[in-house]
Amino acid sequence: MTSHKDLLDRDYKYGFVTSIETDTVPKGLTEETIRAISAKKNEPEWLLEYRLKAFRHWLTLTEPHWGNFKYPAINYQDVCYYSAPKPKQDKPQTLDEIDPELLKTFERLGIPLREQKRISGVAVDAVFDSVSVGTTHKEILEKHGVVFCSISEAVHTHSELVKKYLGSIVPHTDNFFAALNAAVFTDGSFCYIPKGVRCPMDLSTYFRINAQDTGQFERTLIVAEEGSYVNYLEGCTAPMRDTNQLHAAVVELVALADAEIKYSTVQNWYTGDKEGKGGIYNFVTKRGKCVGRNSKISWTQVEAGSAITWKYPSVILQGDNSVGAFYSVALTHDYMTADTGTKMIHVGKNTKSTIVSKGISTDRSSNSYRGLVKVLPSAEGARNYSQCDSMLVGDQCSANTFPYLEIKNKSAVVEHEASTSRISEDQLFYLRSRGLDLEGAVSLLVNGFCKDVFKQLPLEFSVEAVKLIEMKLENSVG
Amino acid sequence: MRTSAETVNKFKQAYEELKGKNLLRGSARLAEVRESALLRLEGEGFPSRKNEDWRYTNPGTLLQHDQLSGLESPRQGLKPDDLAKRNPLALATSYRVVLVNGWVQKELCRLPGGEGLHLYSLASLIAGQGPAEILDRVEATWKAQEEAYGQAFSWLNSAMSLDGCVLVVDANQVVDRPIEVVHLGDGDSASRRISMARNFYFVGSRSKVTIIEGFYSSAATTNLTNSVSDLWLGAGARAHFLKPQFESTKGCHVSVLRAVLETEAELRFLQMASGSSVARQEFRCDLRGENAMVRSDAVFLVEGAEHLDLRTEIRHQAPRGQSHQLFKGIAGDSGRAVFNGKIVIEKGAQKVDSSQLCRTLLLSNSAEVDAKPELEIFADDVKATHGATVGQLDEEQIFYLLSRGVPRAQAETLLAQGFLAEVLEHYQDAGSAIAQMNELISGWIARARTPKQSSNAGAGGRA
Repeated sequence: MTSHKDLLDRDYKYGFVTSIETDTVPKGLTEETIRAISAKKNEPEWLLEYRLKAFRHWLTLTEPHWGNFKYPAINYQDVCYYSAPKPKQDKPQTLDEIDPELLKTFERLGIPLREQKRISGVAVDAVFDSVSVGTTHKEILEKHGVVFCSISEAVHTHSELVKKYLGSIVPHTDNFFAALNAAVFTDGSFCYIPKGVRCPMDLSTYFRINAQDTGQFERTLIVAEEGSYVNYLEGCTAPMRDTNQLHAAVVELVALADAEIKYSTVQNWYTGDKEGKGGIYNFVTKRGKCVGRNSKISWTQVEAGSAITWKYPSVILQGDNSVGAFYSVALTHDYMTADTGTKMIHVGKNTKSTIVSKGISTDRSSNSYRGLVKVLPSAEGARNYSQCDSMLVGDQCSANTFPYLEIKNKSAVVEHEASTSRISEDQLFYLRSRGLDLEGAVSLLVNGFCKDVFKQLPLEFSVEAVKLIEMKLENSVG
Repeated sequence: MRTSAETVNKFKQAYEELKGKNLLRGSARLAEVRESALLRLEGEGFPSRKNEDWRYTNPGTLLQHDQLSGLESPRQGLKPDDLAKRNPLALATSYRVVLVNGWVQKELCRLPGGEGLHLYSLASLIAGQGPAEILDRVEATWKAQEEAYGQAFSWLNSAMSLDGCVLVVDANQVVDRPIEVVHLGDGDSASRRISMARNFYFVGSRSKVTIIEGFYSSAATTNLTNSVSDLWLGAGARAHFLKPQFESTKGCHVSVLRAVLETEAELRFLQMASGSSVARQEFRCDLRGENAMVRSDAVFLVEGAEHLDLRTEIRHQAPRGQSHQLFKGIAGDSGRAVFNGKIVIEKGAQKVDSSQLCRTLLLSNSAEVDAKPELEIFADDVKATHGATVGQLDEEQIFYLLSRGVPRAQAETLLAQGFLAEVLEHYQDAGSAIAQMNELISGWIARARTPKQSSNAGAGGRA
């Protein structure tokens, strides 16, 4: 059983640092830093005020430590809060003007940024560190009235919308990292689907952490007007580096009556080396609100990277008959830690939520599901189903589940199931006796284990996710 | 409300008083256990709701009890009749130890005459009126368990408890009758006392026994029960342990049962709870030896404005252990039921089979159920499942009965009864107590289905 162990040297495939000049503000966090960021981005007064309000609130908070993990203290004064690729002249007007080094980076990552990649049908708002560098498929989207641009652009072009919805789902007082993000967020995506529009293509953002010691504070805001539909994809890779990097993003989704938002993430940031050194801290606040009747929000995530993943994509089911869903695969290896799950808050009548979480832990990693299902007295007829399965590979890892059910309405039906198992010798033997090699057999079984989640992903993402999990597992099974 | 520090100070004064009156007797080791428990209580104080273990129950509500005088001496003069009135399970044939407000009442006890089974009061052991080797064992267990699993309420108990029940069953015994340990709360609304019994149960290797540790009180009693029990099952021992808790709705209850299971020991532990304005029951079980097995089950009813918090922590420390849990209950009126069940499978505890299920029926919109099952697993070749459901009776099942001519009210009662009675099925061989419990449950359902006056707290008030 040792042969497969050395089959794959699972070094980080995307571990390279692009050397381009960056325009950064000095390290440290003060009101001056925030004013500087705001000034560099030429932001309106209200946004600066919002940032400062958030910053002042942040100063009153202490960093939370209730997660099922420990990490060295983060020195928030030693982080650089703004870094943008330096424009050659001013802002690039077309893709051709963009730094070729940058484009090469995206190409190595396989992002369909250039026009010839158009066949994939994906519009990309690529975020390189903090500033959006290019957007494709703009015309098609414009024809349908869909707004898809960087949030710093939207602040100028769709000021009213941003002002109305920014911080409406995740207020700056929400938690320590959300407050920090509200104070210093540099860029992110903004997406607005007008009434009755079915977004003609999947929208995708590729996040990429680059400049050394630059924390990423992305801010994403998606607003789906009445009766609209959007499928949003977020994929992440980051280059290899030694010092831990904090990533404290905020994602807000707003679904009005009859609207549907599907949000999918594949996260494969640097996990740290085999000794557990380095890697990304992924402390993200993601929340959606089904504001209107019959609205739907669904989160799908494949978490395969980061030294520590700490996030709970949530849905507030306010509109009657609204539906929330959370599908997750979290894979941890080496010294990784994942503490992830969801919150489903049932407020409206006949609201439904589904939670499917699959955790796979290998090596010395720790994988926790933590989730809350809350049914308020007003949520007549609320329904929840949760399923959390864990798979352990090896005897040094751990799998934990911490579900919270808080039910205050008698007509609610809430069910939670969890199981822990491992790949059974019988199943492996069966597959191997039919000619599959060990890797093939394991990958087949793991895919079966995760199938409920993968089938929620758009096709290309699904294929990518399967490959990612296979690649990550190859070294651990035995 | 007092702050935690003020409360701790009050208890510290009471402790010094007891010491001053020379009531805290015993060996130097026991004195050390008491001192260190008090020190830890002083150091950490009582938890607040920010403490994850107390997320759903405010410890402050348990601590508004002033009368510590009851700790010094027992109330005399309770008659066997009073006992029968207050103990709904009172069995015709059983060995019995009766404690009133934490003090053993010799005249109410029914002790065994034969060999192999020994019952003592903790106070008499400490006073040197029992075998020294048993006192030694009690002290050793007390120290070790408190160091491993102490928390604010058990520290308080450790520091000041003066009496309790000590049971020793020798090896290879089959105890022919159930052993009842009856904790009676006695008093009135004028004096809110704390009773702090400390109990030890040692069941020798390959012995078989049924223990019923019951908590009852008269209706007017406003006492706080703060009881700690340690149970040890030797290799191959088998025990049924029933814990009915039916105290006054005006009183509060905190209790802990900590069990240690050696190789191939089997424990079947059933909690039954109803009553008490605020109650918190903890069960900890270490499966220390291989092939040990524990069942931990509960049936409960919360009604009126009652608050019940059931917490269990099962630690699999050795391979091939089994643990199975089934918790079922009903929450009506503006009652609140909390279930927090943790299962830990430690490194190396391979081939463990563990299951847990908590199901609650919610009968009112002002009632609340909070369930928090937890799994922490550090071994890869194990089977562990847990589940939790909150809901109503199944309409399909009601329809089935309706279609067979059963009136709706009766159909619902039948189904609710069946819902709870499932838990008792695992205890059919625990003797006549189970039949009585079954009857009690039927009474509960009739009660739970009648709305109380206090239940009209509006549900529509929240957005």
